[in-house]
Amino acid sequence: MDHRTRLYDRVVRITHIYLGPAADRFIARQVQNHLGKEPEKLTVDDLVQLIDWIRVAVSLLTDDTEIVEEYVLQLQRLTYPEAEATGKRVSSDAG
Amino acid sequence: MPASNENTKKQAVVGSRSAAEERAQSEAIFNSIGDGAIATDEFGKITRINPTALRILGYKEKEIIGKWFPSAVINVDENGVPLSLIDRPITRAFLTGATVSDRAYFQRKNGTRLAVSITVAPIIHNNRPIGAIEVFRDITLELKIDRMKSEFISLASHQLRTPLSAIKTYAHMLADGYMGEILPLQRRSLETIIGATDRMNELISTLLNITRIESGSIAIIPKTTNLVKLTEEVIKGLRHIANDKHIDVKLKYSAPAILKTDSLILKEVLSNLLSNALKYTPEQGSVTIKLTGRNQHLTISVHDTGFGIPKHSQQQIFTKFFRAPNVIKHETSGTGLGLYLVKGLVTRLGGKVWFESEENKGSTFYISLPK
Amino acid sequence: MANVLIVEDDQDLNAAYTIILKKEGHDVESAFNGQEALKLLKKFNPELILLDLLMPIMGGLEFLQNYSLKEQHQDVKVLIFTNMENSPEVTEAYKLGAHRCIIKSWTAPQNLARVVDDALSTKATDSAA
Repeated sequence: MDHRTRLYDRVVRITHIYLGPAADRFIARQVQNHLGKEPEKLTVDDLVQLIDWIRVAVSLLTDDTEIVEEYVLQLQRLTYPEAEATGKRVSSDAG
Repeated sequence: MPASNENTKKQAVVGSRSAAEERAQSEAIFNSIGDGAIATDEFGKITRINPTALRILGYKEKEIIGKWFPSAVINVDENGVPLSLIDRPITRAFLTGATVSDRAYFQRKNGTRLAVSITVAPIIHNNRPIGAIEVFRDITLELKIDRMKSEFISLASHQLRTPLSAIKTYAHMLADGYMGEILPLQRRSLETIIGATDRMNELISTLLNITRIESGSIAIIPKTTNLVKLTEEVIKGLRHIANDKHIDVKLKYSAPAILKTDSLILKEVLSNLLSNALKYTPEQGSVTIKLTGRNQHLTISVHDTGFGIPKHSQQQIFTKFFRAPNVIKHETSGTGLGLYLVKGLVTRLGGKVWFESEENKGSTFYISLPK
Repeated sequence: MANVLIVEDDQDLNAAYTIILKKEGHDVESAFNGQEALKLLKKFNPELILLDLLMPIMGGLEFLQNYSLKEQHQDVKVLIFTNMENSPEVTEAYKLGAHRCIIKSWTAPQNLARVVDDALSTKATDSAA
């Protein structure tokens, strides 16, 4: 239960960097609309599906493809096995 | 060996020719669509645009292919102010994963504004969104007709109400002794006339609202609305009826209920439901209004301890002019339009309405609205 | 008690409002359209104007534009009479300085007298827009 909440929170935290205060509502709506479930119950498998939708939506909010890819990469890292097990964010590589 | 090589080669050539033909055909189809059509990829860049769209927007194909859609095709509101990107229909299509239809304005290449009706849907391939397809058409004429309809309705409303005002005003003046002393029997007759004009006024309002709904000319103006305050206002407006019949009206809510909706229309809906509850509940009864919120929706319920709706009448309760036989017995006045209007207005607000009822026990009407 | 100008094209209503307000003790003049009203204003100084919006020859809005309420007659209260609630005309009237809007078909005589009294007792700058 706790672990699952953490995934959603981590997604929102990352999103907050790029979308600001609207992050929580943005992600919550995506989870509810595309996955039909409560945001807190977001799983890694869900996230894989969701990233596609997030990418297309955010691509309509900014034409800076580099930023979009950077954001998507951060989200993708949350789906790596270590991230799931330890609940820690995978530290970004230099550069 | 060489023969089968030849054959494989031939098949390969035939195969790719079919693919090329199919592509050409699908392009021909796309280009022949009578409305404007624009396709974008997963990065929001325009991949295809048909001649109708180019003509409507005033662009040449090479100016716009490959450009980022939100800056190439600008959505503005009726004042020419660009819509924020998150409010655009195409963004909403991806946020909801569903097809979005809406009216909006495009800014043409020459800077002029054009009213359009847009339908945009995500393109899904192998279960993934790979872009969007937006189809739109010029609705300038439709808007003009809508405006004419609204103006006519306003005018008709004024013209119907003016003689009614005169009837009511003079009846009041007679009853109040402005024209000389009045006998009690005469006063009661005048009060009957006044009551009838009030009912006629309500009827005109309801008919006009229904005409507006049916002609689609009800404009929804969403604003941040405090539902608790709105409901309290509605209750206040009908307090005198509740007091006359000694009916207890309670409002219950668990948390402040805020939503974005057209507060005038919602007020009309709530007034109708509360007025019905009061009308069809005998003296000493009670009416309870509850406001609850879950996720994306707010639910309003109006519960009364009144006559209820018999099972055989329940199917028709939202139809025009329908009145259940059991209430006609108790309360002869009523147009049978109130719930028809409620359903139309709630649908227009993007919500749902339903009810539960048992004869002689009472009824509960529910409205759910998106936040 | 006060000078009141009634501007209403419907003759029956015009007569009715005149009777009601005279009975309350006000000094009442009336006109059937905006143009007549402007003429009357050369000789009559009302403290309150009951103004219908939809009238022939010159309607309520045009009257307000010509009357330059904001500049020259700031202390005069204008009550708009209409049957078209929530219309853009009403919004425009408020912009031109109208104080309040009354829905004709719902106003009984006692209410009219009361509304007029209310308006006269508040300051001109407290507009209900």
